[in-house]
Amino acid sequence: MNIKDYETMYYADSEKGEARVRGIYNAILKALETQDIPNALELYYIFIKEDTFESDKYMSVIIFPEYLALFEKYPEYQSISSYHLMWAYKWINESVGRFYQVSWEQITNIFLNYERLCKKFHYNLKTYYRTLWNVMYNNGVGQIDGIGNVRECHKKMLQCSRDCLSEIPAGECDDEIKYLLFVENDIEKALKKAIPIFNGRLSCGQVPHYTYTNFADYYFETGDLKNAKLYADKAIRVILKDYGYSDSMIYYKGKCMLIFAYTDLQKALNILKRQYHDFSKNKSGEQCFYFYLGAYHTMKCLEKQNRKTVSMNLPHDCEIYKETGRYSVCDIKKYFYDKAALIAEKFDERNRNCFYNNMLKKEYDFEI
Amino acid sequence: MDKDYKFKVNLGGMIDILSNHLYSSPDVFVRELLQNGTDAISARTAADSNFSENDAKVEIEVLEGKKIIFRDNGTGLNEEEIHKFLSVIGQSSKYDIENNRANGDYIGRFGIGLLSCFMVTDHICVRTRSYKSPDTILEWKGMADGTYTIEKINEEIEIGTEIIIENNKAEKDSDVVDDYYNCDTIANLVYYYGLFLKYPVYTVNGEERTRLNLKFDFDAAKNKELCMNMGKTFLGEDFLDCFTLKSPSGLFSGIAYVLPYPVSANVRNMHRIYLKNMLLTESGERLLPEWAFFIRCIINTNDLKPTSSREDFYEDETLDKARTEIADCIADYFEDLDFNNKNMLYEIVRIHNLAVKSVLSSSDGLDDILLPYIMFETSLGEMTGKEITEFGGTTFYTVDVNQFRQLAPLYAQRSELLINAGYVYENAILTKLADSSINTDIEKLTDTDIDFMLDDSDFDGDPAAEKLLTVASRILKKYDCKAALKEFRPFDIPTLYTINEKAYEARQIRRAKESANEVFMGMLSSFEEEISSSTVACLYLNTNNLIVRKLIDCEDKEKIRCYIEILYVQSLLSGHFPLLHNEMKILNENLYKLMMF
Repeated sequence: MNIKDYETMYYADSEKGEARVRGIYNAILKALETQDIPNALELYYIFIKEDTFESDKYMSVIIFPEYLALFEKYPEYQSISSYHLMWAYKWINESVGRFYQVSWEQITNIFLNYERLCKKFHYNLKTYYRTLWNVMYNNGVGQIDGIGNVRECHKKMLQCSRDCLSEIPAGECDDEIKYLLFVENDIEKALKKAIPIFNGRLSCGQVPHYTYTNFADYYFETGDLKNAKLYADKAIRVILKDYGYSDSMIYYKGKCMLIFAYTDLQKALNILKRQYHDFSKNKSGEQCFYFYLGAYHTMKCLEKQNRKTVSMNLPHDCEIYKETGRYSVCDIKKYFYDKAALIAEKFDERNRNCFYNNMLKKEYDFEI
Repeated sequence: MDKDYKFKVNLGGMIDILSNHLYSSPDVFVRELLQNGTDAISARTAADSNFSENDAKVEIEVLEGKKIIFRDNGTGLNEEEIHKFLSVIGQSSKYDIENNRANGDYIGRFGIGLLSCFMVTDHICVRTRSYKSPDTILEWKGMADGTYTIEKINEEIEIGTEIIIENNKAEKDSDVVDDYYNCDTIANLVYYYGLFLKYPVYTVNGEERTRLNLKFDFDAAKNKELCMNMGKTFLGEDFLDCFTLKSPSGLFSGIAYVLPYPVSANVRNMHRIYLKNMLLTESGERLLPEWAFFIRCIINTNDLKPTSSREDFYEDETLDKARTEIADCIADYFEDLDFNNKNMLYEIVRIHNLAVKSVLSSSDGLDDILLPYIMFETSLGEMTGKEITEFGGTTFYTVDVNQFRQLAPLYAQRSELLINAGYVYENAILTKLADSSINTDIEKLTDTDIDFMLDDSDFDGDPAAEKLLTVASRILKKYDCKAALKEFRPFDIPTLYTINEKAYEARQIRRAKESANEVFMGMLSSFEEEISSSTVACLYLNTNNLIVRKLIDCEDKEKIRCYIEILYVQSLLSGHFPLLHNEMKILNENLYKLMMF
């Protein structure tokens, strides 16, 4: 069988995301059963790509060690499969920090192993430093002993030339914008950098989705609600169009929900109601935290408008599920807060800081 | 000292970029000329009180292999307008510069359309007579190197404009360009792009005139048979049904067609999207809602903004609004079918089950209409939402396809309902169905429910059976699984293995740990640790089954161990669970041992 046969047989007609991931996994099992190692390796890569970009990244983190072990067990196929393995490994580097279950010691070891493989297969360390500063920044971790801090990693990343593991230009540009906005706090430079993305010359599956959200987030956190709403509107339009039913963008939907809670409450409520079902299956602590945070602020703002109850189509297995579908705003606000707090506690314990709790406890005194 | 410099533009190069690289094919020069002609007629209709719309016409004359002449009896141009509009790239007579907006009646707006002719010629000749100064007839000649001339001529032409392009392109792929200097090619292109144009378009051959476009009003597309025929002709399908698309805000009008076969969401459907009655694109993904992949359409829009190549639309709020309104039209169509043609709605839902489910999962407005028609895979065969809600009592659904396959025969034997909600959308839709159901409780299957569904065994309290249970539990403990004695049908199924979602995840983690290196081992253990407390797996031994009964009577503990482990692995296989390495090994070892007994 060739790779196309596996696709036709196991996942060609599956919807993107979880269903497709399940189909690809069955294809992997078939390839392993028949000792079809080259295709099994390729299918593992397809699995991780699908789960990374269309789902919550949980299964790819679980399955990647199998992939790496198979790759190491069959050195005869390494020359043809190392390129895809390294891409998948890079995505895993980006994903592991998003799960509070993975300790910093484990994250560090995973990165060091990636560094070793980069050297072994003659890739430079650009992607190593890029994923490193991102994972540190995303967790509010300023420094990793023996490795350095966010700025140092970013600087070292810039010193490395591009190679074939580097992000495509749209992703690289978006990354730089994130750095300029949140690490350097330089909105002017970020806006200039974003021109090719805003005019559509640079784009990919996640850009401009990420870029718009980052600008919206920046403006929101700096109190510029007008621009925050402008960019959140742009972000949610492309996110819902491309990832309406997918749980891969829950983080960004949560961020937009938070901004809309203070700028367009009905829109925030719509996101919460429409996306809750997809979100409720999400296993990524980070993504869940931001969604609960947005949901909490949405309820908080509803409460400020003296709304006592809200209708929600919660899943039956939700702890506060009611047959009537009608919930007290106060109760549901508390529920979302408690859920976010539980996750924040775990992340902060892992990160040894208060990054998540600070975010959760932050008050926004905007007039609504 | 700072000095201001001005850009210099290589006009020939600029024209080359615009004419040869902006558009996807030279075909579009016909569209651009038709567009200019009809816009000029619209302008004259509005401005010249002596001109009647009934006299409007566009004529095309082709001198085979040599020349193509496009004529319109629109406004025509005077000398000032020629300098302003024909000779400045980016300036269009259709653009209201003072108010910075395009005139709503016109199709074109960028002032670059005429340049597309340079894809098939090196010289464009425009002869024009303005209704404002009918005594003067002017001839403008533009060259591909960016130069042009204007002169007054004495030749008599009607008020309007005549564009003459000759087959004289110096650098050309001759077959490609020659093909355009052919009457059939031009007629086909007019048919393709301008079929629904408001004004008549003719080919002229001596005294003979042939009309190329239809008299068709999208707003009045009520004749179903005609619409279905149009669908077959222009979209090449025998569609299942069609319905009109009419925007409440006047953004679009058209006809939507329902495909007669299921399609994947990933397949790119072909549509025919017209902008002010001129074909803009055959790709409509951006205009239709994402879930409408079972629909094709012929649609005309007046207010959406085209990109400069006029082959797509800008993604903006108006496009968003159009998308929402198209979604509403589809919803209205379903609602109408629910009242007037239930069989058709059943048929559509049967064929496009997945698409309809995605519609339902993304919007609340259609629940009442569509939920009764949705098909679900159940233990009693395929059932509609209506049949499920009328079933009565409590029915269960499982979100695990493998669990459904394993349990469906058991439920079928008992004439009870188990619904497979393991595919995308099903879970969300069943939640809605449960909310809308009065007679039937629809609940997610739990391990307690499975346990409850299986009958207590007649062997309960029997010392031999209790002994078997104790031994089996001890053996299965190392697989994080407990044992239980139950009775169930069909009799030929000896065991049933059930596992909750968390336990299934734990199995996958354990599988990954079997091969993981030390770098990832700790991480996998952390994940496993977090879920281990909530994992539940159980192997039910069917005391109606002969093998299990024999086991109850068996005294040989080693033999029991072999059988229990084989039955455990067999139940995993029948449930399509990927085996762990040690489970495969166990199967082989025990088969070998059985041979030795």
